[in-house]
Amino acid sequence: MSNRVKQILKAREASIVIMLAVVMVVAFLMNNTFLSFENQMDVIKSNAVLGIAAMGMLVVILTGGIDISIGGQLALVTVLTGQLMKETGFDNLIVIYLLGIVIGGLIGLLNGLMISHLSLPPIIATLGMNTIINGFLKYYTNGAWINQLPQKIIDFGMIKLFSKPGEVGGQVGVPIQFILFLVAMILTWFMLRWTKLGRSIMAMGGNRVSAERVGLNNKNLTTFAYVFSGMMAGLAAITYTSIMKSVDPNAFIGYEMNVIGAVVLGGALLSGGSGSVLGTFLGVMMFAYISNGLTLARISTYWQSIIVGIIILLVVSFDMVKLHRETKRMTKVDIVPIGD
Amino acid sequence: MEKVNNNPPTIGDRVIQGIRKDPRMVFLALVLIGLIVLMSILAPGRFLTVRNFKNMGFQMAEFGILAIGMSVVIMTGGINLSLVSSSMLGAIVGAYLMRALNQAGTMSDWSIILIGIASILTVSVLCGLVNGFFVAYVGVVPMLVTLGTQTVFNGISLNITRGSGISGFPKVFQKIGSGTLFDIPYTLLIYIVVILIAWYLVQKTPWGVHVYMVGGNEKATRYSGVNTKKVLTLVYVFSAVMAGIAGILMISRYNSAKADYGSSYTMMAIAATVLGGTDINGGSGKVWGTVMAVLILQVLSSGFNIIGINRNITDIVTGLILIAVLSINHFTSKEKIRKSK
Amino acid sequence: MSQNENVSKPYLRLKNISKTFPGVKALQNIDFDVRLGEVHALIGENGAGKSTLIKILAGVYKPDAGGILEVDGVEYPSLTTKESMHHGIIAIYQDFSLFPTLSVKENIAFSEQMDSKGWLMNWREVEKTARQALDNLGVKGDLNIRANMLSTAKQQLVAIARALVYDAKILIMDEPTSALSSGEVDALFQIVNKLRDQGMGIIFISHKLDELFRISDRMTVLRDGLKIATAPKSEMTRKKLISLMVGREVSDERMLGEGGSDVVLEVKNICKKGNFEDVSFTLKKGEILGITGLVGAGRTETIQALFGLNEPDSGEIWLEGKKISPKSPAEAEKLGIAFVPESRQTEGLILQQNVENNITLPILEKFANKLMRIDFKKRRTRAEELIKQLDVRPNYPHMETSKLSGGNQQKIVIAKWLATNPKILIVDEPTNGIDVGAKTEIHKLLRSLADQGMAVIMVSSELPEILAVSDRVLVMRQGRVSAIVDGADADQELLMSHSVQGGLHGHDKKGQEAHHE
Repeated sequence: MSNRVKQILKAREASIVIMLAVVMVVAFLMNNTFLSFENQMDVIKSNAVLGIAAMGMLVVILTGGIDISIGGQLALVTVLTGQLMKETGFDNLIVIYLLGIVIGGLIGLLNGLMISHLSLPPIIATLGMNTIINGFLKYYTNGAWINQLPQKIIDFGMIKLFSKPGEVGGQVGVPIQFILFLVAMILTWFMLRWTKLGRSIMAMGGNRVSAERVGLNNKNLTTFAYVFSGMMAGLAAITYTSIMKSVDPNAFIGYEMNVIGAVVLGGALLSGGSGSVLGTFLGVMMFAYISNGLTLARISTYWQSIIVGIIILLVVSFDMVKLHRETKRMTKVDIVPIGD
Repeated sequence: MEKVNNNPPTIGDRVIQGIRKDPRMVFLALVLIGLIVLMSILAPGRFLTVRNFKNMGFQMAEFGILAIGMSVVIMTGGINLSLVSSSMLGAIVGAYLMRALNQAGTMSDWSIILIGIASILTVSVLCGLVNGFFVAYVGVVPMLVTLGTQTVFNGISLNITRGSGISGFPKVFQKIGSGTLFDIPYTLLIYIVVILIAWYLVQKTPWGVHVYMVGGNEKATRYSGVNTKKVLTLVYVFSAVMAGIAGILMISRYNSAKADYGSSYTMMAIAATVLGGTDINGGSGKVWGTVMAVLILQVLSSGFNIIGINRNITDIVTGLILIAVLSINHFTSKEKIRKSK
Repeated sequence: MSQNENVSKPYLRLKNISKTFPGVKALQNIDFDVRLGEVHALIGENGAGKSTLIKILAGVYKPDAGGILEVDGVEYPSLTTKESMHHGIIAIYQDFSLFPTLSVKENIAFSEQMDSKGWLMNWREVEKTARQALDNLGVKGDLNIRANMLSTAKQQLVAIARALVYDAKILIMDEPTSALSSGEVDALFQIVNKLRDQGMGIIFISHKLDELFRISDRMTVLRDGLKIATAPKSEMTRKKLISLMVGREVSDERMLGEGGSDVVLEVKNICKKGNFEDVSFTLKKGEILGITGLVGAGRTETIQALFGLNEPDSGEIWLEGKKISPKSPAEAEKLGIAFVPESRQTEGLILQQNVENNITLPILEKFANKLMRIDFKKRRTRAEELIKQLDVRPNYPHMETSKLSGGNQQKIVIAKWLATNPKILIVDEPTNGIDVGAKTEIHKLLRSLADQGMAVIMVSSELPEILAVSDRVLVMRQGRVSAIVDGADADQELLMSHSVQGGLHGHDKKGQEAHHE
């Protein structure tokens, strides 16, 4: 086996690919339509929001932080922009998207400043932020849904590219949400791989002290990560509205667990510095396929969280066992017979 | 972190020493008193009443007990995201059994309740063992373990209840959550007993000291001949038992069990723990600090409720307080560092 | 290694540099200079002011007004980090400051990339720079491997390569050999010599005097913030150096004991795949058995097997006539085995906890009554006794452990185990990072414990230390026992020859005999 192949197999992504393959095979055996193009596109469409949000969370986790307020950010953006659209009938989608990104970015900025300049532990700062946002939203909406959104955003949500009539009726094509998810992934990947900013984030996540010694500005990098996460949350939020055609202020309560779960399943380490866009994508797809597979197999969706939970436990335990084995191998002594 | 008291001569000395030793508790106590005074002024004749304090006693017990369960885990440097889901899983299993036995009608109410409570606590211990196994024996980061188990526990609960509630317990069961003894709610009495037990275990026993040591440096503690795996497993079991007790109180108060009861409590329990002075990285903190934080949050929400402020504003204020208190920490510790240099 | 033509006028010169922290004069009126093409050793006990001096050079600290830093003919009152780097003053800290999750090439070229124009990475440039830097050092390696997958020695090479990319004129190396095996030290010294010959000035900080005599051209001794002396190596002797560092004469004598009586511990043919193979030895009451060998010879792995941290696959361990197989430190402790680990800071102590909590940790359960309540008064008394017994300073039980000096911290780790009344005390590199004065104190302590009847195993890479206290010395090589020799007969050369593959001068035969005795 060539070194390259070995390296690929060793990569953290390899184990999740194998697990994903197992899930896919099981899902396919239960229902043949699982692998159909139409179903695949549906799966991606309904998980684009999770995927986009996960990209933001990935960057935060790379810094060694965590963003508990991601659910709150999503809810806040959907409610504020939804209210705006409903009240004023404003329907310029580009502006709505920009607005969502700006709102998310501002919340992210607040998170980032609290964490970098007031040295609050990330989990506490974002937990506090989440409590504040959710309190505000309950107060503001009283839990009521926002309906009667402009037709334009509803139409936008149903756009399918390269569409042609499907066999069972309706249109088959690449949903616009897939494109948005793709854009978020490419953007994140490019930032992390090719820009000095991204490399600095990776470096700082690995070792903050060293980062300071080579003159990186840890505070600004950390703040940026939360702003980026907030902006991704904004993008995800508008995308969500376009799919659901209405706004439920309670839709994202507890959602942070899904996002963190997906990123962690994708191999990112909570200690920072380690994680990839590809891995996170695979983690999101794992979530997606499990729920889709269960639906297709007509198994109660209540099973979904059990299976997802068990897979999270298995994957992280497997990682741990692997790590133990690797560290053991590293302290290995080369034993040779005496006297040669 | 200082746990030694050399029995100083007078109570006054003791208080002064206490203040010196633990300015954090004094600060929390002042905030609490300040809030009570403030609320009494803002709602004259309505806040400082027996009825209101009784109400607070009913309300805060379940959350207070959960917060203790969270605190002990955080003292070891861990976190328990599955706290409320283990609470509800136990409660739902217990509720299911109690309903079934009640419908069969062959047993006395008391034995049904006893079986119900025993099963709730048993399920809790099992939940704690699962968490403890993954954290202590497999070595996975607590946040990930409990993220996973939270999803699993919640899933099992949903599978049992199919998303709806379980009710139909023996009538007496309701008494736990709503009855009083000399006008003092049972729940409050249970809370006080739990506090005392937790305080004793954490502050006075070898296990408690080990909890802090593991929170400071697990490896060094293990290398000192301490069975840290056992210590950690017991920590998660303790946490889950707290969750179980809270679960009993919750389903008794609502007279039903549902998978999503108390879902915001997990995060609130983390907030109360940190407000109470426990370092999120472990190795420090006190049971009394957490109790104080719970009291503050309770006075705040009751007070706001009486004054007529929307209860959602309470959430906002809670979040603000959490951030503010920790920011104060940041500045005071900076001051300390400057002084010591 | 003599002062060759490369040695020129000083590139870096400090005149009258002082640094005061509130309440502490860390440095007072220091004059110090480094020339290009020399290795200048900086020596002093912990707290002598070495690290303050380094930080002033690296621009991290600003010295007090009145002093002058002259670099390359330009005078500064103080340097910023940028200015310092701009002049090619590069520090390699003990932890190497690498980015563990980034590749080797990125680690090497990181700063160069960050300083270049534009906001995108130029990966081709990264590759080129990294390759060039490693070529300059004369080493080959996989550029794409993550830094945390490398051995300590290789990480150090990456750190040195990175310094080359900065165009280092003055390279500061802080305890560069503390985690290296002697083979690796040789390789490092070759590189240091090469860099010196290329005209780099190197400030070399180490506690290991033998190494300093091997590598340096000049030596400067600091003590209590004052410069005591600067002299060429030829004018220094080991003894003189030590007395300059400590301020008094320190005996280099051996502290050998009676050599022990009854056998306490018998290890028979224990094996663990990839760790150690067929290890057998005995340990007597009242003796100190030194275990040495190169880093990676399986020493730590072997003693960890005794403490339940590394269960052997086969073989037997007998303690006082009973077969034992400890599976955890807790079990080992109950059997009467104590272990002072190599890393005080991460394995020995809970730094943010106080002395009392640390010192009574293994015996904590003994203070509890039937209701599990700890008798805190009794515990305090016991803690105070232990502190007194080992002369820990300052002697406050409630002092935070992190605030104590290395020597006193090590005493606490030892005291913690003495409290359990162990039959066997195992110490792993007991004086790592501890200054010369405290070292002798620890040695004396070990000797007196053995004299009182304890059986002691001491693992150390420092041969002088092994020779100072060991009644018998066990040498390991590649996971096996290569020799067991009497302490009185041993010298550095003999021990080294057993440590190295094939031996240095054919001593191997003697070692084998000793093994079979």
